[in-house]
Amino acid sequence: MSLRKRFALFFFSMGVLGALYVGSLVDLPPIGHGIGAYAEMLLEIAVPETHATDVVAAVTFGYRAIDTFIEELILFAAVVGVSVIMRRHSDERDATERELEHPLMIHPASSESDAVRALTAALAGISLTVGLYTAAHGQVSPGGGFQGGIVLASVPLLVYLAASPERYLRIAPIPLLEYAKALGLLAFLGIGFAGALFGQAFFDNVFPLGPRPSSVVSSGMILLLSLATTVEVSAGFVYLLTSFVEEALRQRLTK
Amino acid sequence: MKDPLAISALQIGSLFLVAFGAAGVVSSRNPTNQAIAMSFYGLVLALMFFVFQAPDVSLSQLVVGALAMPLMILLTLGKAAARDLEKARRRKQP
Amino acid sequence: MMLEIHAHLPHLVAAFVFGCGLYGVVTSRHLVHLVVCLGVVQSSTYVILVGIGHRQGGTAPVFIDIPPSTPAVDPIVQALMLTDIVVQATVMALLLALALQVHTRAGTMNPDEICRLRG
Repeated sequence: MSLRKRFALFFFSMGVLGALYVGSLVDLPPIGHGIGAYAEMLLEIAVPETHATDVVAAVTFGYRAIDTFIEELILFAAVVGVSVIMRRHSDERDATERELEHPLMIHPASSESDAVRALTAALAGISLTVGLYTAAHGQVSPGGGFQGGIVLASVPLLVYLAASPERYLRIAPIPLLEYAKALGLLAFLGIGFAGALFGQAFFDNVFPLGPRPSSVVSSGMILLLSLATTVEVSAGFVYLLTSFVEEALRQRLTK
Repeated sequence: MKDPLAISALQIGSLFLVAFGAAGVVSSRNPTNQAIAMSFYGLVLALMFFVFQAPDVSLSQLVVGALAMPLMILLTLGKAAARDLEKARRRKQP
Repeated sequence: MMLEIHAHLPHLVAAFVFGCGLYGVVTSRHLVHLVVCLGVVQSSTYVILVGIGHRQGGTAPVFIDIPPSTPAVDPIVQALMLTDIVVQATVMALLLALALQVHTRAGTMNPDEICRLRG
């Protein structure tokens, strides 16, 4: 339909929706006083029950672990979808392989700027440490599987900018990424089944809870699920970036 | 003045920044400019989460919104331009 | 029927961000611009979730250095937002890959022109 008709329809429907929305806001409790009963109860019992001082991680990987499992399935499916869509046609693939085997192909650097190379080389080690720390301390302080996983996913990218495409492919080869991604998801599912194996519900916390809430090795299933999520999220994101960056790799090698 | 506000002035300021950032992202028509605007919007969202006492969410949003999203946008645009060049080159040599 | 603005500010900002993003989707002339505006629409849900979970004078729900009985904000909506952000990035990557395929087949990134061209 034409632009004018689209505009008219958009503004009319947004007007009606806006009026209904503002009308419904009047009956909502004002901000700051609308916290639910589930949240109040959870804040009271989460720390003594799971020995995890970060209640958000306790909710994500403990009380609502099944929601997180479905979100991980969505992540996995989206990454597989991207790899299928970015799959190359056969004639393009032959051209790439011929160029990669050229005898004069000594490793060309990804970036001509010394400042970029120096900065990213320095940041790569720091990012790795921060990512591992964040992933391992999810149940104690803010952090966890998702945050640590995506910080770790930026490390191969920094290596790509600091060195060359070959080094990037050497530390993040595609078969390793595929196995790690699938392994993370299967580990998540397996830990969930452990609850059923011990006679309780799916995704029930049957692992030892550790000595006290403030120690790092505590809260049983939450720590294990957090580690499995780290592996899956970091491998998935690096795989996404590799699918997108393949074209840039090929162009860099043909210059 | 009114009785103590449920949200502080800092939180009100961060909400206005989010609204401003969203308008900025939508009004950048060129996708390359929009990638930079998206990076700024991701940072502003992370700031809002932090000011509203949500540090876990802020950590997530910071890396995703400021790093991964603009990167994927720029890579997509690069791939599209490269495929255009390839098509033009193939059309010249029949 | 008094509507106090300061009592519902996150809800109003969320509606504004949603409207902005939807306007961008409706009037877009480039597929990548459309996908990014869809991301803006999705981020409006984060603003409203933050508004729902807020407690006056509440602190972050992390009790490593404060006693567990301190009033804190809602941890459940934070758990919802946490996984949603990472999933949003991957789904938008999928949409960008689809946009790239459309560009390869139809030769253009303009949504208005795609209907007229046959690949």
